[in-house]
Amino acid sequence: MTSDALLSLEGTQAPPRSNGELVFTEPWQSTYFGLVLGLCETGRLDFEDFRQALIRRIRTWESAGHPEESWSYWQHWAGALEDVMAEASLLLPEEIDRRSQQLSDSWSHGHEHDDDHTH
Amino acid sequence: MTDIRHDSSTAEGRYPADAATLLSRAQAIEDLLKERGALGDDTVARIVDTYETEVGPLYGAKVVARAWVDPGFRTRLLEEATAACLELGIGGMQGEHMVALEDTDDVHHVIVCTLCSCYPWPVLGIPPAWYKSPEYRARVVAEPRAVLSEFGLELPDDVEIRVVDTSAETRYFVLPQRPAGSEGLDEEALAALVTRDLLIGVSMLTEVPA
Repeated sequence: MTSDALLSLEGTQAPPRSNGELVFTEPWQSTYFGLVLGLCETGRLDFEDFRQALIRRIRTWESAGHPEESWSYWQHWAGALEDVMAEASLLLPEEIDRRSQQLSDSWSHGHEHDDDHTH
Repeated sequence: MTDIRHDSSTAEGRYPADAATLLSRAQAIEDLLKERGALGDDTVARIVDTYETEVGPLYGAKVVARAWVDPGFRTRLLEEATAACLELGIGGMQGEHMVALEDTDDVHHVIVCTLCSCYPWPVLGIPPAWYKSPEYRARVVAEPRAVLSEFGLELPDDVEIRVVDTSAETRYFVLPQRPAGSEGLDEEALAALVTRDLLIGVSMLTEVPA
């Protein structure tokens, strides 16, 4: 199915749109969303703790006087998740930094280094 | 934990902004959590799929339509919305303490979360971008009539607008009035009239569209 066909679906099959507007505009947003709910589901996080962290993130951003166009709700969501994971000693930012760097290296150079392997 | 986060690119108030970094960071977190057994292999995919394809204002519309045709259900909904929604199989995260706000001829409700973006997910899905924006969160409280008018909703002066701010636990949604001319419609046809904006309160349906 092409993305155009997907976007023209209506009713229950339609992608999350709120009166025409898609709920997630980038794949990273839905992943971060699923991560928070997943950790609440498995009991590793308490949603109220997450909500408080989200409020702190948003308040910090708002009080810093950033221009409105740099607002990104899901960025605050992502930051809040890292805050509560660090507080719960579940994952530290440094660990995420390292793995994230490895992943982006493998995504950008994967084909050059992996040419000897069959895909 | 501020010591650990000092000078980090993810410290409070900062976070990477480019989509590629955000994607690799989200993936890194998911991989690490799976390796540690904190998440199942398909947990994230399953949750995202549910919210992308199932949960949404359609559920809220079913609840409203049932309340319009079934007075007993309406009473239960206004008394204990979470339990009433469960009668229809609707419930879940962020819906543990829901309250339905009954619109009347004299009172119109509109919901907001001034602190972040609390929202009754089971009946409305994920909030739209504007609901989460600093502008809506601040202005709908300060000047509700002006904000509603920007949404195309002009309310008579004698209608009181109640802006209801989500508290720590409670998630509100609006029970709009049944529109004029809908007497002959069945429950399914009624549900089709109910939009997300009606459930938030930034829209109103006084009569069935021609």
